[in-house]
Amino acid sequence: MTARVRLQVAVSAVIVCAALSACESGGAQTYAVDGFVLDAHGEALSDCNIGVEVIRGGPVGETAQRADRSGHFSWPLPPGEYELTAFCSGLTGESTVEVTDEPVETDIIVQ
Amino acid sequence: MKFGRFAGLAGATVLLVSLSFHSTAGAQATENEPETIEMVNESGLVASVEVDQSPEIQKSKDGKVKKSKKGTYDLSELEGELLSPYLPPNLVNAQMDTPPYDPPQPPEHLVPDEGMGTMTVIGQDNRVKVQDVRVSPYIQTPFIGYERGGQWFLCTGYLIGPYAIATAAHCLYQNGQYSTQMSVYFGLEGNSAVAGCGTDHYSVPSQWTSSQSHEYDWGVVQLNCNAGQAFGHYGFKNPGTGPFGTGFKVTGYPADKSVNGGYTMWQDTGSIDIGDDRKLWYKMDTAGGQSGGPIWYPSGTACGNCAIGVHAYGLSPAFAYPGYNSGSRITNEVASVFTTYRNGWVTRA
Repeated sequence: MTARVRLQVAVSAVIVCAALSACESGGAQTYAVDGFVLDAHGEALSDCNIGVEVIRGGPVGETAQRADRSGHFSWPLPPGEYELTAFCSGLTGESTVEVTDEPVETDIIVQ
Repeated sequence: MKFGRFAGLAGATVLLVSLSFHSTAGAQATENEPETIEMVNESGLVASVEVDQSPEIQKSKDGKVKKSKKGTYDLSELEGELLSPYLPPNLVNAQMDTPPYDPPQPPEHLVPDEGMGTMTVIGQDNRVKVQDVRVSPYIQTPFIGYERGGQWFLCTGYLIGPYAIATAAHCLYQNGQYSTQMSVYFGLEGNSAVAGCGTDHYSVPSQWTSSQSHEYDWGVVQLNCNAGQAFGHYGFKNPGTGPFGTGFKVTGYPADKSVNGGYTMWQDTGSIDIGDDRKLWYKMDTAGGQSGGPIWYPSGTACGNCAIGVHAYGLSPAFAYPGYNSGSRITNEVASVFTTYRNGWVTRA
């Protein structure tokens, strides 16, 4: 295939969300789903990865998030219904959330 | 290397790179594609690009790792050492020992169990663990860790040239923010990797930054190392819109298989069920963390291990084909961008 590659100068304005509590830039507006990964005793778990399954709404790219050492996670999601799953070295926990028009707080209990 | 976090060479000087690619031949008349794909990167600055097919590389002090004036690290001398996980000292992020938080340790009562549930597995989980990530093409399929919005995320990518990997656009830009502190680990198995690199720049289609349409969810990362020279890279081609056969693979680092803070590579093999203007749809199993991984097949032709797409999504009722996982198809325009990065070092004026 031959292709003519034209190199050009361009400027792209980027809207940076100072905080991810609510953010819109080019796509659907998102709201932070914020919480902690906890064990059955309410203690924070740090070595966990979080994935999102779309029940209604989306789409959401198939990345994953790693909770910090306090077990905290925060994921900007567009309005919809989602199941967040925490994977913690073999154990899992889930939390189903509905995102409408404001940030959502939810913890994930890993059993 | 202990892999307690996504430490890495903070890459990337923040610059905007804009490329306009006009395909003048090879386009399929049946495809409804834009004439121009404009690649953008980072905010506010202005740059143009050129392709340097032989960036000057110099030896580092230890003689093992070379670094070019343009910040490119040479991994080629690692070839004889691939059987022994090795992270070139010069490629370790200086911040590796000072992570933003202490490397997390697994709670003692948590026992690894790979039989856990998954997210976008359709029916039975048919993913198979890649047993040796240090051989082709798996060594060419890196784990990607990055920060965005104060949180750490993970994706997968694949080498398409000497210095460049393809991945999903949402691993590079989302919700008005570009990713930062990106680290790219080759041959990652658990807590050890063969090599790790940072980034020089990355770019995504302007259609992604303007709409974040799933149809434009692909991008390119130019590394600060020549991993593609050291390890080889995938071929790629536009597969058209089908019909497709079977024997395709989706490969990556799913987070649900993480054990003791480390990550392992998995893949499923199957058919591409649907191809449309810009997407491929399939029921091969995937999970979070596999975004950006290759949709590929061993072609037995010049294309080699031949990528035909970039995995990006699990199931979503918002899609036209809600029962399928999906990724961006390598269209002629995508291939044009990939080819530019395959041809050499893309520099910024």
